[in-house]
Amino acid sequence: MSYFLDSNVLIGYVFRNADIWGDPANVVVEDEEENNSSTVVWSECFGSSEGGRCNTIQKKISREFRRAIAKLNSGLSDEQLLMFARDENWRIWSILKSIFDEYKGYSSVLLIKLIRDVQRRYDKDYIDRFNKLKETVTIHKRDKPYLEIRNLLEEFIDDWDDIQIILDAHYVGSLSKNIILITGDYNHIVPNKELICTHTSLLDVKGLGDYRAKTAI
Amino acid sequence: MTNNPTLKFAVESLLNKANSRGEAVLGATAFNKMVFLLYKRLKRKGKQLDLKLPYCWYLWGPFIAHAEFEHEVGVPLEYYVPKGEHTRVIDHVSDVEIPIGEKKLIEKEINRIIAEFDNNGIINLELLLNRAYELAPYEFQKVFNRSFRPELNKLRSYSVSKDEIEAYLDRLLEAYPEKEMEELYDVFLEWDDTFRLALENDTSRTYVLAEEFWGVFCKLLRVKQCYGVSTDTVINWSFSFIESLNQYENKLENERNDLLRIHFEKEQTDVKVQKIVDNVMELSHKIAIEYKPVTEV
Repeated sequence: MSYFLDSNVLIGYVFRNADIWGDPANVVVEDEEENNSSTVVWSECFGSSEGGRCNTIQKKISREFRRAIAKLNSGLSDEQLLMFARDENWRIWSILKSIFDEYKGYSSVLLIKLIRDVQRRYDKDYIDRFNKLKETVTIHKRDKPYLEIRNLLEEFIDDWDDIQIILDAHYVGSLSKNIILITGDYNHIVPNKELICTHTSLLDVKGLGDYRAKTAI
Repeated sequence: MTNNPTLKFAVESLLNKANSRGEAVLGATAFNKMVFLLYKRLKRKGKQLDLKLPYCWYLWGPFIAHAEFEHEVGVPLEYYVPKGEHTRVIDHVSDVEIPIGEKKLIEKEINRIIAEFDNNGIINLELLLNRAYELAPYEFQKVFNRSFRPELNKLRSYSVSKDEIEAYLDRLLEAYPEKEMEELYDVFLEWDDTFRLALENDTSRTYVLAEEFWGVFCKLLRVKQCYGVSTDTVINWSFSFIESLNQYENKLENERNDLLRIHFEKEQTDVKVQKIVDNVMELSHKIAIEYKPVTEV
């Protein structure tokens, strides 16, 4: 049995410790089953050579932390920095706010050290997880359009992107048997799992939530 | 054909006077800085003589733009400053078409400059660089090139502490021309943290880190701070900067990742830090799925 991982699994893993998807994604990626995905899914998350949704977010967050450090270093108070961050629509505004609330009265030197430690640990954890995905996930490039299956899927799934992912998973299933598609898409994919399996080579379709129980055990 | 006989006269007079004993004592760096100071001092209030020197700010301060110099003077710069050698000894100065008043003004200023920097036949290059850098457009250049870099060299001989180097990094953070050099600001901040990681974990990497950043910074600097340089040259420099930046960003990221690995091999993460990191991960995840919201039915 092998997995085909949808983007929610990769996102949940690389940014784990994160809400309900973090731990199930961890279970899926780190258990002994073989992990597969497609160039489409991978590019969406990590780009082809650079960029991609996750890399872009990680870089943006790290940059905001570094800019926060520079502002504190140049003499801005925590209140001034929060105002600046709000004006600039920084994503980390709420994180900075909670740090300044919790560590009220800390000198700017200590706040800079704390923020720097956070930024470094965040970068390191992200890089480690990204590298783990690179090591353990086999990426496949589908070279067939599967027009017949596409037409069948279009009868009950109206999202073009979701059909692409199912066809990618089907392609991997046609190369090696017993592929389970694991997804966080509860809108189009999970509710139609039986129909999807009927029309494709997939053994099963599972929602990431199915792996939450395993985490609890 | 000379488009700017005044500049030609000034350059040749400088070489004639500086290398007056028939031997070339003036090096290429000193020549560049002296011509720049001559240009600046003649241009300032009271004298108001514009040599129209084409130059930019680069790795070691003001630097004469070669192609434009040749266009102005009619002689390649390499004629006066052969590559890898000292400047040429000039016996006969071209002085046609120059009003006598201008000639005297230029010669007087050259004599002053040589007297200011000549130390028994040897040019005091450090003093010359300091004087040139006093006219640098950004404070950041002064701190990086005239304070931080020399101090960094001492790190290898342990005659400067890591704390002192960190103080210079703080000064650089304050002095960085954020608006004017915005294209490189985030790379600079990434470099800053990478450099601090190297300082904490492997000081042998600091020298190369500083030199490589300065190289890419100056590629942008010469685009931003150039005078009398043709549009074609500036476009070429812009492309050169973009190419260098792409290579540099990859290199810096690899270096940073490696230093983070070394850093966390010996550094335990504090519980309070980990708690905040968990929140940052949650925030990142939230942003990532905002692109394609998921709701479990």
